[in-house]
Amino acid sequence: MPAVLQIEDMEDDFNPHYHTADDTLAHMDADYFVAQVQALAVIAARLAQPSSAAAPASAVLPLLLRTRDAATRANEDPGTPVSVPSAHGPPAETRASRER
Amino acid sequence: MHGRGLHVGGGGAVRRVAALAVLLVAGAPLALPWPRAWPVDRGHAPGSAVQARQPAVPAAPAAGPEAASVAGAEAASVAGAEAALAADLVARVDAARVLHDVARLSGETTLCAAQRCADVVNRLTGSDDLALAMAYVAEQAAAAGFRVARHEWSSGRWADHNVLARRTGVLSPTELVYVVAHVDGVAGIPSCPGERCPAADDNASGAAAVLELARVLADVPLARSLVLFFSTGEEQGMLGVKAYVNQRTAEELAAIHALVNLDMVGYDGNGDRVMELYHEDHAPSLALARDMRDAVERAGLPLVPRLNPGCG
Repeated sequence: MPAVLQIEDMEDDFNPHYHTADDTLAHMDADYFVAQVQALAVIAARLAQPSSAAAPASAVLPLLLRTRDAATRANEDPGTPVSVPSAHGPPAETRASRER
Repeated sequence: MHGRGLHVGGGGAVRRVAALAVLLVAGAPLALPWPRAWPVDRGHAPGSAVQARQPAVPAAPAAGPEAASVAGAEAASVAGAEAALAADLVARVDAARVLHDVARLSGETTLCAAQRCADVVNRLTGSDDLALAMAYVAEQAAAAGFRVARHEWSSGRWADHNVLARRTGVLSPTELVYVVAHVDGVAGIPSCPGERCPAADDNASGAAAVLELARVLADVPLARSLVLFFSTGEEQGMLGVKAYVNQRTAEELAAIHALVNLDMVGYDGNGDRVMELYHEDHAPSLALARDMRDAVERAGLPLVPRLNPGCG
């Protein structure tokens, strides 16, 4: 199976705080980290889309457009789309804990 | 990242360990042939996302001598829609939200989940604080519309659970894309002998990134099925992932279309924006790494993606 490790520069720029009490948020680079998250979004969207073998372009295109519409709506109206509860809000039982 | 017995700063040793993480899933028993057929969309400039925002008209079924040009137009439209989608998803990433998650998971701010709040001291496998962190990722993934399940494992004196968050694809549901990050961290090792081991870069960064991915994709239909895999026991030798893989059948493993493992994605001491993609010189993984690199470059992100064969 194709498998890739997405990681910071381990070759020439190794994190000196690796596995120490100083591996803190303050020692991370916020802009770089956010760019890595954006890269993951781009990568995951590409991988989760169909291959041309699995579906002809005429089938793929409407799906992609629908997908993009959903994302665009979310960008234009940030108040509604992704409802993520605050960690300090009312705690909710997780599906995981129910399945235990 | 798993690095038992390694000295901090040992670049070569760490590189071998990084390679191990890939080897686990790309190693010989699992290196099953998989027909890859990505849409061909090379040569797409980052700026084309804007251009592609014009509503595209789906092409009519191809017939006769015009078939080739119709197919070409379709391919171009797909590539344009893909680029536009990528730009929209990038815009949905909430920097404050994902940084706050790193702060919560690394004990910088209070973490609340499953009706409990605590300041995480460390996320050692088997600890209460790691259980809280796992409850948090499960809650957040569920809130973003994923079906969440626990996978219990034990190995020697270690035991804990992984959290799997799934979405089913609408066109190719049997093709699975895995995105993996370990939530556990080190504690009580020579390089971090005290109780307090924040493990922010390794690997609150990767776990928070995968959580943010869940939110970014919350109402986006996916063609393939997506599995977000939050693992534990990584620092003891990838115990959680190994247990999961060992319990899968060959058919289940063959259904994995691609796997991306995020481990340490937040440190850039020299400011050169390099991100590495380890592929182990395993042909299907190399193809995946190239595809990932190309997607990142097309999106015009402030990153310098670099392929790394690891041990090869």
